[in-house]
Amino acid sequence: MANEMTGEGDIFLECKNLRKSFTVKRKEIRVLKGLNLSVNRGEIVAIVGKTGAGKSTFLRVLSGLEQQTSGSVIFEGHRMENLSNEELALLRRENIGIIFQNFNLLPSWTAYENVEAALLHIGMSKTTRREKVKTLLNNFGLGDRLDNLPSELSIGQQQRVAIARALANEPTLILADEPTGEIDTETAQDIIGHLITPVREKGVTLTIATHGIFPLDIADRVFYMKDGMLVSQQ
Amino acid sequence: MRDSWECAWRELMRRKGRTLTNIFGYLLAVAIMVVLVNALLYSKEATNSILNRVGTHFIAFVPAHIPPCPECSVKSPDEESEGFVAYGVATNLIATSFVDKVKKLPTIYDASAYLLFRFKDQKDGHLFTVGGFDPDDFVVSKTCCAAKDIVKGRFLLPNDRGVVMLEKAYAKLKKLKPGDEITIAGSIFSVIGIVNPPIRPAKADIYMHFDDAEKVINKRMGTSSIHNEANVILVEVKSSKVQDEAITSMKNLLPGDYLVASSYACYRPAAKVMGINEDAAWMLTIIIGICAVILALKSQLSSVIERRRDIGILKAIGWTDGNVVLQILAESILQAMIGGILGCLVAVAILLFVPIEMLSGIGTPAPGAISPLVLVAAFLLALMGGIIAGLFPALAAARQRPADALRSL
Repeated sequence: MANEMTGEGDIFLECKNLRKSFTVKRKEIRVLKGLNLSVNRGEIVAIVGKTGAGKSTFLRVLSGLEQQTSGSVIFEGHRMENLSNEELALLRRENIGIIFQNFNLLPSWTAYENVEAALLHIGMSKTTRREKVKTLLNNFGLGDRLDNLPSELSIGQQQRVAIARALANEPTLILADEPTGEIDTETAQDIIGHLITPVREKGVTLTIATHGIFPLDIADRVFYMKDGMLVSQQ
Repeated sequence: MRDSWECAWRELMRRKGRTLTNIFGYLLAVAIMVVLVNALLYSKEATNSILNRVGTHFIAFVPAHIPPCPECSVKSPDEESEGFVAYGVATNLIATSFVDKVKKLPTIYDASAYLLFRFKDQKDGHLFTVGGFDPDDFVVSKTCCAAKDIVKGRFLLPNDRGVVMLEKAYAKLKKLKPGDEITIAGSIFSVIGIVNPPIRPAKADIYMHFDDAEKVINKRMGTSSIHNEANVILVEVKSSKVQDEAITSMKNLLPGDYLVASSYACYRPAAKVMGINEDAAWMLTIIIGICAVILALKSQLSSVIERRRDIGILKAIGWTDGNVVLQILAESILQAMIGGILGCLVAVAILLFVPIEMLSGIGTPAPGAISPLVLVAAFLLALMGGIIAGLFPALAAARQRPADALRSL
């Protein structure tokens, strides 16, 4: 039976009976086992679970990077399973910011270029783009590291670049996969500050997957995930 | 679109080693192609020039001692020494109306009646030949002698009568110069010029107007005079390639295999050998072009495979398949454009500083020129190569699913 975790209010993102399986060496591995979740606009939702619980897969399905085996993801009224690859790419470009587990910065691109990558091909002039990227990186305390490659930045700085990239296109939804997963508590606090402030200011919906380090009191709602199912809600 | 070009340029700058290798590949291919094609064009021009000197003209005549043909007559005062000759062979006469028929053949550029008669000097008994032609006819300059062959005096004009030009060797032998007089069959002629023509099929010791030649021959022949007849037809064909066809057509005009056409036999094998070289060079050019494209394709494909993760990230943050295709294509095209332009410049430098005769292995008085058309064509070919080399990797990159790329990390 599919489990159901719904909120009240303006439903922004909704999952219905979401299932995802992978076939590895002819063996079917069921990662998501029928998730139901509703997230309201401007809400901060944390998905907590151990490694292998299915959190990252869940976020990838929500972002349209992964196609679900069955079930629906409805984002601002659009059924994502009905969208083409091109439409999904455009949806991510215009509405979704993704913070990856391992930052996923482009290693040969500078900090500036990594953030700018999210603003390319949207018809923005080069001058406007430059101003925007510089302002963003300045806000994240990286104004003097624009021309540095990710390998020349600390882990915390790399994560800040990744967050700046996720915020660059002014998304309505941010999906963050373990944003503080590999950093110390002090840096994590700093990162959280940089992430939460613009989210709260602009009313962006934030869905965070974490295995516990993330301070859960920041979230409006917290869901616990185990073996591909949401087992409880706080 | 502009973003794609900018990003492509940045990407090329990031991978300088690979970029320089690809650019060098295009440079080398374009430079070799331009130099080879220019050398080929020059060689072709030079070949045509050589073939045109030997391959577009010939003389035709009907040898004597064969049964008389319908349009021929046999008139010879002294078969042992004097008479109508061509290549030292006694010939029959052909009606000049036959020349008009020859002129109408589609492969013929020009034809002219020519009288070539061997006289015996009545005083010292030496033999000499007299050639009579119409100086107005173009073919005379290719088969007999031309104004440029004059070494002293002047060339025969269409209205000149009672004057002759002497072949240089004959003038030297007889110690004659312009202004002197010479007696032929009892008629006195003024020498107006000395000519020294190169190898020509209808050379004579003395040249004069056709009308004068007819008169002086008739004077020697006595009763069996000639009228509107010639023993040699000078022929210029439209191209060396149609010479065989022209000869066959002419022979068909005179059924019975009477006509003998004498041309330079060397032009056929020469043309063939030159053709083989040309084909080989064209083949080489095409192979070089294909190799360059294959190498660029392989390099671009390797680059895409190396950047699998990067492309996955870009697609994850919103780059569409089209954006990825344009990015990879733009990279490939930029390299091809730079390589193409540099290749053209290198080729121009080579062609300017290395004599084209050395490159083509053939020399003619015509100067070797750098064909702008070849440069443009080579650049466009490089561009096309860039598109082909970029398209497959670009499509492969676009087909890549971002989740797969990210999951495989």
